[in-house]
Amino acid sequence: MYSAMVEKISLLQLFILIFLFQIGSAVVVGIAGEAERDAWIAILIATVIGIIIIRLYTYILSYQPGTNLFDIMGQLFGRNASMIISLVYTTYFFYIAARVLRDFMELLITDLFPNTPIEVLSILFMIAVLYVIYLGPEVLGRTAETFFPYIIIFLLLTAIFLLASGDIKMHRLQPILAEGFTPIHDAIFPGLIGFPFGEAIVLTMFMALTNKFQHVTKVSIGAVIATGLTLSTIKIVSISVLGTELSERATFPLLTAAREIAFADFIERIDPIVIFVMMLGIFIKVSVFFFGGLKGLEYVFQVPYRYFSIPIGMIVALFTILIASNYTEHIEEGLQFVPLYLHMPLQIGIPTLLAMIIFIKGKQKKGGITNAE
Amino acid sequence: MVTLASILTALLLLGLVIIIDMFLYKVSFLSSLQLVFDVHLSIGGMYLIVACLFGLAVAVVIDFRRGKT
Amino acid sequence: MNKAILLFLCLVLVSTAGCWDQAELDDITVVSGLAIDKGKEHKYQLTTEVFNVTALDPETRGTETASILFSLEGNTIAELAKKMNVIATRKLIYSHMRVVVMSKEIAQEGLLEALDFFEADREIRNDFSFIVVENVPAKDVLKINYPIQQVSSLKIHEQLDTMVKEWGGDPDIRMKDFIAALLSPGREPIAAEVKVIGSPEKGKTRSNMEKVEMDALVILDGLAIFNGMKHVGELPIKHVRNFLLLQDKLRRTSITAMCSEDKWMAARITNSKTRVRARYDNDVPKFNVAIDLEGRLETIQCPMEIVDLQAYLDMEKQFSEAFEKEIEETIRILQEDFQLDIFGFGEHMERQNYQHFKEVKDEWNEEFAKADIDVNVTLKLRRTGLINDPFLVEMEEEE
Repeated sequence: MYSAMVEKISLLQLFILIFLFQIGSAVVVGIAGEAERDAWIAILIATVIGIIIIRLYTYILSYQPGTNLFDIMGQLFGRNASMIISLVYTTYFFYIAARVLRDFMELLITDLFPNTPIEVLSILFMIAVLYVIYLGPEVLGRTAETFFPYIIIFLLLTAIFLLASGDIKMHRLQPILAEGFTPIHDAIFPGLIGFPFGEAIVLTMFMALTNKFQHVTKVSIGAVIATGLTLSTIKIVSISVLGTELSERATFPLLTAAREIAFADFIERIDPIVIFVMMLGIFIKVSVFFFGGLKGLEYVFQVPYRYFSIPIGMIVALFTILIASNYTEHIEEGLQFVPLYLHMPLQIGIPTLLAMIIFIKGKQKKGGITNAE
Repeated sequence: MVTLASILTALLLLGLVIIIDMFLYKVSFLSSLQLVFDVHLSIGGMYLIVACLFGLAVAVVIDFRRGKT
Repeated sequence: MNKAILLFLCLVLVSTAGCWDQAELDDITVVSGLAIDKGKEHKYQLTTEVFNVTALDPETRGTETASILFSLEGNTIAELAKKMNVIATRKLIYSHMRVVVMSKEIAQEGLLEALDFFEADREIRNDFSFIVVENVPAKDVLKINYPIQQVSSLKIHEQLDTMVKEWGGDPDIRMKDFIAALLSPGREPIAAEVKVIGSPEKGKTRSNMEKVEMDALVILDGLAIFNGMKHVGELPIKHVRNFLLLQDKLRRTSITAMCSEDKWMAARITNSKTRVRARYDNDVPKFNVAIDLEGRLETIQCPMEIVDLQAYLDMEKQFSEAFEKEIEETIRILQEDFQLDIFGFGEHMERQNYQHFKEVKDEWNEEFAKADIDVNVTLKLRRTGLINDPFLVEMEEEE
């Protein structure tokens, strides 16, 4: 519509955004815990499902290329119903932004700043986020593009250093598939689908903004594959360094693994490298969810989203604290409530409904043309 | 409009958090509300209150300036 | 104007970052080692050894020792670690701890719940040596200084490190390994064991370092065997290297064998590779351990002609057989005297024969005790040093 014309991001930036977004908080906390040793297999299988999910989203967007989810829902459901649904999605996006930020804040406070109030860190982080979003999605795209090489290098370095330290013992991955596919199945449904693959629904905000819409599907699927491979590799590294039990017990497995690095007598204690990677991933993720929510508000209130940045930014910072009183509760919420009641209906349920409606409409159109002949 | 939107968002989010807490702890709506503001908010709450007031103030200013045009 | 404000804000941000978590070098003292004993009135007595920085620099050293000890009693290590300022001046930093020593009492009573604090705390890393002390309270170990490395914890850590690399006399246990072994059904934990010879009371003053023959020393004494969290016995040093070998962790060592009555020969092992095959034969677990060793001949007390290929190969065979017997003896002690699988044979079985292992994993130690373990050592001596035939051969010829 009006603003979509002005802002553009390149396909490469889209790829990077999707990739960094999906590995963003998955590298901070562990994923696929139920599958234990075979978690990496679960991730690879979930990637395939992730591809299907993202294809679903690009299909919905193809209904009206260049618009975003909210506009399409408006078209299909009518203005009033879609206002309510949009508000639901907006709340959802802001809630997840707050959750993801909380994940990272917990990491910072646990490892780096035990005495600093979490509120201060949250507010400072949100100031950075809201400023970038205020400047527009292209700025976010460029930020992601700039930092992307560093993230890759740091992740690779972590893996290489662990290898050089002799901490990686591949036999910790054995016996493979010892308990069969049940634990893998438990890990995938509903956990892995919602996090991180289903969260791509918010990326539909960005997919609309590329200059060459026809390639969006390819780029997105490519990014999902890259994500799956990276996450699986990180899981393999984590298990082969820490062993299954410690990998499951550690609150931040990749960090605990990276703390083992000690070789050449001076490459040790390099926690900050891992934290840097996590911070960037989280930044992209929070920014994207924040932007998604703002776009929802823009749709409902017909006001350019920029104006909402500061007030809503502060509110998200507030809710980062309010969502849980301690880490345990935060994790419990994330495992019990969020996947089943939030992710499933909003990521899969409604989009599938949308897709079906679009499909039927498409058939009707064709049917209409043949009838007219 | 902006102020309205901000307050609406805050209320909706609050509602969500309360519902989640109701689900987790199996308490009623009012107890959940109390939980949220008593337990969840920690010492640094002062910073958050200042930040939110600042945000709302900005929202009001924006509305004001937009209302003019 | 805007740029100036922005710059100012950035400066403010940078300089106030971490104001709650600031720790100036002047305000901290680095802890080099911890000793955990049984407390008299509480559960634990924690002793911290801290660096006395002025004593480490020869210019500012007076008659001070390089490290100081503080002891406190309490019920959790976590609380004690932060309470040390009852005695000490500055904030204690635990990130550079080199050693954690536990008294035999603590280990025997299985009071190792203290390990949870080490795992969870952000300051404490996994790089410290994990030690049980045999004959004195743990804090006495930290009292004993040493001229070349004056801080006791550093001395012990460096000693263990060198020992692992040169002879394989330290089991190279870190906290993560200990806990992993504790949780694993196929392996029991162990820790290094040290002993103090001489008098700790004399060992804690500078005078200990002023003698050629020191009053007190901390020496390595093998390894401590645990059943779960309880310390149940020891293995002398000569078995520790066999232990490392069975875990494929041995780097270098020296082995000796008899070449004829009362005459010995020694070889230096420089490379080793161990492979374990695990399977079940009816109800008996069977293990085949294949050990490949590479090394050089160091000394031989028999007048053997080394250049004779057949004699050389016979010598290699003598070494292999003697070593095999040694290793089998180590395994036998664990099977018969202790019935504890410290080597991790259970883990090999878990990887290679998971279904069967799953059934017996709760009683693995009993399975291990009845296991049939076959050790096969292949030794290749590549070199013989700077001499071809030992002088004893020449002597014999002259007779």
